[in-house]
Amino acid sequence: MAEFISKSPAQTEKFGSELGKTLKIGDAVAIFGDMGAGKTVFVRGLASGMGLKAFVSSPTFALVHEYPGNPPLFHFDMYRINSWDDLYSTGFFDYMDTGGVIAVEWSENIEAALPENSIKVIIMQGKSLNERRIVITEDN
Amino acid sequence: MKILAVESSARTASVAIVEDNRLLSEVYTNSGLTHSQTLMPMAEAAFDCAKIEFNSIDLFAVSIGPGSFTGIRIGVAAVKGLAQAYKKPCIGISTLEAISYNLSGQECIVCAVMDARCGQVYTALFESHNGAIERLSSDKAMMITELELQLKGLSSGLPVILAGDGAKICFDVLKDTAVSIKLAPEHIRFQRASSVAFVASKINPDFQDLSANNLVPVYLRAPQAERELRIRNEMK
Repeated sequence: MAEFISKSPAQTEKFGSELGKTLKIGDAVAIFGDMGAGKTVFVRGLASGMGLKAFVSSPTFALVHEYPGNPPLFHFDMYRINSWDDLYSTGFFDYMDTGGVIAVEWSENIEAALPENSIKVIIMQGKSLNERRIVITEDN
Repeated sequence: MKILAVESSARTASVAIVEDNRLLSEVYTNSGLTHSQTLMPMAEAAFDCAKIEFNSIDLFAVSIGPGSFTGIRIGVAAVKGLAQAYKKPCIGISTLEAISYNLSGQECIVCAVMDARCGQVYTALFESHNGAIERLSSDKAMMITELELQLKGLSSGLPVILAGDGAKICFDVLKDTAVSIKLAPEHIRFQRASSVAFVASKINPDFQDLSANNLVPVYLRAPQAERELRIRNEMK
């Protein structure tokens, strides 16, 4: 388990980028955190750490954004996912077979369906308004 | 009668052309879920190899589920579009029934089983006997533990063979239990378009409406009700 204190979105992105550099095919990053915590900023960091030149934005409405590369990054947002049927129809389970890295915002909503070896990233409010506590847990 | 069959219900994908119970060509891949990119080139290759014209196909057949949401939609949409454009009949085949045909000619119970994720499977039982396949149970989604109970209840004396993309997962879970099962070998374990075509060739077209309008995917609801998707615990 690793813990970081971020004082700004730029720092959150930097922590994401550090994690992004270590990711390989089949990895899943499950991100937890409230509205405005910096989840999308963290994923932007993941993408740049993976060497992807993608425009990263929140997939709240599209459900998933694909950023091509080797490996590609599949960026999910589960904010509007309320049931197993919803989840099935996002193609989430299919993406896990596609050969890429998966990043999941609002993992709270689908926690029971997360892959077993997911890397968990929990972003919490810090001591001040702009401070975030970021806890990263890797099971193995 | 020439049948073009398409199978893209899970990780594998294949296209086959069968004429009067003879397999003319079959293209198969098991290299990741990129069916939207590979399916049409595979169909093209199947036609090239069989040296027949697209327009000479009499019937389209497609595996309509259960299975991967994306995979089934790709296969069904492709066949629906082709059948509509060429004004040909088309037929949807249960993915599990097609899997059972991989073992036709054997004397056994086929447990067709597909991975539905999170400890669940799509499954149905068939009896393969005297060269014919007879369905014993309808397509269902269930937990692997439930399938175990079902298999324990079998009393036909025939060997039970697991086939389908969920066969290995089930075999690994069940091999050390009281259930006596065998795992279909790799070359006949997975979904095959040729098996889809052979099921289609057995169906009497007089009893079916084979217009493209009626072709729809079949999604089976998985029984996750006992497990909530959102785990309600307070995070530290």
